[in-house]
Amino acid sequence: MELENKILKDLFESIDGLFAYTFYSRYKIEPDEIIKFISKYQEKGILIFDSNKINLTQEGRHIILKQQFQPKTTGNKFANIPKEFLSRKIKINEPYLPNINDVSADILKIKKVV
Amino acid sequence: MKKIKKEDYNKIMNLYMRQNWLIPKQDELLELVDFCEKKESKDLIFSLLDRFNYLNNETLLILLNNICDYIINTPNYDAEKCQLLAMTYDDEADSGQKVLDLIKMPLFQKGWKNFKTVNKIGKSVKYYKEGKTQIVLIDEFIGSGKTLRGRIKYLQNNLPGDFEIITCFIAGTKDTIKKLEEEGVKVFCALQLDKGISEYYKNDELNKAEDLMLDLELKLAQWINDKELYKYSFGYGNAEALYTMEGCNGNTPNSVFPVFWWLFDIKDKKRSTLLTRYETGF
Repeated sequence: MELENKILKDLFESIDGLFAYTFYSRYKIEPDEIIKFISKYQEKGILIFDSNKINLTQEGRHIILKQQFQPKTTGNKFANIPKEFLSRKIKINEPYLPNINDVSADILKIKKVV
Repeated sequence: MKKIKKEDYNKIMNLYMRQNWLIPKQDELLELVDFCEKKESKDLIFSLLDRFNYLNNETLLILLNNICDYIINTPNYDAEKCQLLAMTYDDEADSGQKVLDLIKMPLFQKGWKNFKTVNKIGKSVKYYKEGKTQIVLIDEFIGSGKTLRGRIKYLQNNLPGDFEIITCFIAGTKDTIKKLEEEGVKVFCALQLDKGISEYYKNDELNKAEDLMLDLELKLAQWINDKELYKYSFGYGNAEALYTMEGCNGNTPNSVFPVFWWLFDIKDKKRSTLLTRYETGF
């Protein structure tokens, strides 16, 4: 993924696209790897591959630009919680049964009753 | 890992765009590119690979259906009187039997029932005597046609009476099919191929391409055990085939240029070949 971002960044910074071979000379990316990258992003309409050259499409440039200027964090630490950890907001006083496996060990420390 | 030249890199990329089966075989492909010392030899190999027919399951199913339609629509052919006969001669499992097994299902699905499948040429006499006098001779690939002519002769010499015969193949060389038809043999070949060199290049280019391929073959082991390369030069019977069913678990025919599957080089060093041919005695 990191390598893909590097390639996309290089392509974004180039005016007239880059030869596939450039990524071999820069990062040792072999043909089988670069072809997978090209297929993946060509399918999404982000780039085109023609005459050995990789060029970002207008749409591809637009998407990359949007991602670059998107703020990574905001002041509120709860604003960037990944989607998979979010669920329905519960109402006040609504019963809630936590999953015991997900509860922090500190909270679970039960004092022995003497 | 040896450095890939820019020119080779670009050619490999273009090849991958059209022949994506090569992508997981990159090490073997690079070895083959290295095997070619001259630029012209590399160009020849890239051109042959660019025109290669590497069958996958989807295409195979279409071709099998074409064969089925041909059999069903052959005038007078009746499933009850018919034996589907693999061209297999000896006890070794082969691709004729593979196609025979693959074809029985689509035929059945199309409503053709009660035909007899026979997996060895020698067994045909028994079923002929049981009334199966219409023969469909089946194999995967037809190269020079030498084997087919031999099998027809066998049937003519061994079946004790008149019989009808049609022959069906998944793939084969166009030139051979034409010749067989001129000889009066009824042939159906679902995928008809041009010869990789002699039917692609012309005049001086043809002579040059043939010389380049001969040069490459001279860099291969001339013998592997009791198998002589000479017999398979440009593919068995000079078939010059660019075809394999490896993509659907098949064996590469010996009709394919040996540079793609011959296991040892002239120094008897094992090669990592692009294609695999199971060959008895290798």
